Amino acid sequence: MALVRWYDRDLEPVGTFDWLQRQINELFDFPRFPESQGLFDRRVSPAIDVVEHADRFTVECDLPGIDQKDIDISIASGVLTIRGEKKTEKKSEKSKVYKKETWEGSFQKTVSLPTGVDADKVEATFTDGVLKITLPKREEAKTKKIELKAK
Amino acid sequence: MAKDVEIRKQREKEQVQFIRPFCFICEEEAGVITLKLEMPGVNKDQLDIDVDGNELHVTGKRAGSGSEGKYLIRERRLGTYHQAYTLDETIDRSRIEASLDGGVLTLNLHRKESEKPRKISIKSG
Repeated sequence: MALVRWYDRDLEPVGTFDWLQRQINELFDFPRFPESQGLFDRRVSPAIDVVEHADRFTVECDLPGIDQKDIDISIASGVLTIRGEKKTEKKSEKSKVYKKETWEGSFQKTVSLPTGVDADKVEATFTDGVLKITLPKREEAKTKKIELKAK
Repeated sequence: MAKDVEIRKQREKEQVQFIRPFCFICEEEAGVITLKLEMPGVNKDQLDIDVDGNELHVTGKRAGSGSEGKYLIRERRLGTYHQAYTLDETIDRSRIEASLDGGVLTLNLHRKESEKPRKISIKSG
């Protein structure tokens, strides 16, 4: 019987360093938006976009699976509050859950509005699980173009 | 070795362009698997559900992506939703029901009749 030197790829020193180097190089290679885990998880407080246009602000909020009648929007002293509850239908006791990434229950999101919003003319629509609130600016807050007069 | 790292990075880049919808998978009644995917902003015309062999692909395009204004807060991800699932042998490919309501896609996957649990009664001799 020939004696063969024992060799383990995993314990081979050069390979181990290669592996370690790869691990360190890939340490920060995660996608810029973590999908469902971590500190910045925004599932419980729904994600919101606030966009400023020349004459209005728009607020868009993702609220999938929520009934329109369960959403409550209010504006008080320059703070917009979106409040609501996500209800799920009752499940039978026999039901087996395999994976759950969604949430249910009540939520609240508040946004301080910039000055100059006309609170009386606010409109909101809800389509395909996206809430869109249009907040028109007051006349004096709108961007005005100043024409230069030629002498 | 450098080549697989490149391939892996490329694949990651391609995946980043897609948004993975949040899912809820349960079996409420025996034999029917309910798969719910949250895809806000997707309407019926922009949703594609394909069964390709053993793979179920769901792709949904969001209507109206991005505004031209100045973003004061930006938390939502706009783009295309995509998720793929592997179906096992027990799922009946011809009985997949889908409905979309309020940004939530519900898929009902039925198990094949032959795979459903059944009781075997003992005949009295």
